[in-house]
Amino acid sequence: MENPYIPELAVIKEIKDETSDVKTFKISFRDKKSLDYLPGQFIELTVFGYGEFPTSISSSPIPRKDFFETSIKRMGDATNALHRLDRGSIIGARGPFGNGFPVDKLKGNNILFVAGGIGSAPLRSLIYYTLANREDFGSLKLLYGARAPDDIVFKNEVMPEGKIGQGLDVFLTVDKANEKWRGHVGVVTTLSKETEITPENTFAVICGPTVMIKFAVAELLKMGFQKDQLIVSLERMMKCGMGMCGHCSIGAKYVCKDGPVFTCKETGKFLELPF
Amino acid sequence: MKDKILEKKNLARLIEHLREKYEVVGPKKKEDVFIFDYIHGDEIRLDYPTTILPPKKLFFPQREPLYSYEKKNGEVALKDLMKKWTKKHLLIGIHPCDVMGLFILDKEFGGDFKDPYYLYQRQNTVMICLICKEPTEHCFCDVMNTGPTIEEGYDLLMVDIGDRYYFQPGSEVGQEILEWELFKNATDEDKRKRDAKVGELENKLCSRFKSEGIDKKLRERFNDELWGPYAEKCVLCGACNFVCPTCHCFTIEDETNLTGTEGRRVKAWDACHFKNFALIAGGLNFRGQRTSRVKLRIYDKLCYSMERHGVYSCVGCGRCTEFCPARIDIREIIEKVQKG
Repeated sequence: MENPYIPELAVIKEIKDETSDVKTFKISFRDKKSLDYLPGQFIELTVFGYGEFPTSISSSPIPRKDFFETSIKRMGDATNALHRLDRGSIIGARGPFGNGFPVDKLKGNNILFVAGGIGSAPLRSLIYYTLANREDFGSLKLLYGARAPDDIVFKNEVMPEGKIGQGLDVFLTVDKANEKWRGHVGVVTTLSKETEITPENTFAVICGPTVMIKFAVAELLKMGFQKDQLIVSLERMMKCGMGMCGHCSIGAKYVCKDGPVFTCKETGKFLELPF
Repeated sequence: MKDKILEKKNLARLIEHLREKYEVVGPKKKEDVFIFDYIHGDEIRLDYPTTILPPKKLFFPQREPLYSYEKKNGEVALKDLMKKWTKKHLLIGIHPCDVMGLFILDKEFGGDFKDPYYLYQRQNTVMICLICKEPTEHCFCDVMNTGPTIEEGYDLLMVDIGDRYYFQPGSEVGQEILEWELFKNATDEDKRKRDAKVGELENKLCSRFKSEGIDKKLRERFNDELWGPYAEKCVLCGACNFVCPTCHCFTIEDETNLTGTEGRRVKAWDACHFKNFALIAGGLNFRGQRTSRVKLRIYDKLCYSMERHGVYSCVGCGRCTEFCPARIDIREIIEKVQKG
């Protein structure tokens, strides 16, 4: 029987500094195995000697599956230890886990990506996926809020001259500007007024801190979005990733197995508050 | 194959006979209480009322090593630490409610994802189920439909009928065990005594409350004021989690040497009542409130399990009530919710 607790050995191929506390790691499996995954799924990463943690995949499975990327903020022992590693270091990876974004359901529609902070990581996967199949989708817009200009993750991709550029309209905002910032200031929900968004044929895909999800969902409902047009990716303590250890439960659901992606119609039926 | 009987005086010999082929685990006395442990013939105590820990610990141990790692010259070597038993195990004396508890764990550990550690131990254990001698003052298997007898989940089912035990097989393995020379054919009189024993237990287990529909009632009463006093009374020690035959929450920990070059990953029991159960990196705690944790266990047993698996995951063994230092009685909660 396959043992889903034992990670595959993997190699850090590249490391990119995104901000002072976020790095993007490009990772390949040791045995050259490719990883079949969907945008929105996550991996359990092991830094040997420090422990394991769940992290979303920030790359797109299209066009290449011989590596994956994950963008990680320094938070605790294991993520700090990962940040200290160099290219070529060996780590462990289990997965992918979770349901991922409903990419087939999104086809033929406009998509509004709403990202807060490091919550932009799983959305980056979906954005590159939609851009690789650009003709399948209507308008694509990204509303992205960060605490400060220096905290914007994937800066060289999403800033006006960035490489994502064509095919996606990017609206950035920061909670607190610095002297160089000429853009919008305010929480991400304040951006929605400037972007000519209408709910018709549109799905909003939201990921970020729990409190940001709460306000973004409330704002979008006010704008006339229906609950099944709002798709959220939730964060919980996902220890095993397989719906066994119990830590990520919300009511009868396990975020790791039944989620992490839910529509607000689904989360509305949970007995416990999802965000 | 016919049902058999074994005279009580031959029980120790049966255990020694079984030990030739199996590692035998059963109830034995330890100081003032009873536990499941590896036993010899002279140690078995089939008159036990209940044990502190259910036999789930045999399949889902308190701490289970998963794998080890060793870092050397930039390389990492992993080694699977899954046990390989030299002999199959045989669990004798497990009560019907605890067998039903294992059915719940089978669903938790053998669903979409398979836990190979649990399943290996489960699949390599022969089960001899024992109908209880007496219900304890905390038992309510009649309410949860998990006793006093069961129809499946055992290789042999045994009943104490006075000076002898009555055995009925539930599998080929059970039938083979009954071929041992000291088993005798059961008579009609033995069968009558066996049925009378079950009937006697049914009469003693006459709980005045029902479980039917409790999941729906709980849905309606999620934000009820009923929960406040329980959240205040509960000391959140996790005892009910650990003694429960169906609580399956665990954490995954690393045990490492000081330099971190060697270590092993361990799956260890955890409890949803513990403060940091749902704490995430960055300090946000999704279950910071006491009520949230106290309710989770009750809802998981009597509401969420119905949504997840179509069954209640409380088996009415009474351990959570018996070992609760705050004297919280799950029967009282069920009764209150049912009364509305």
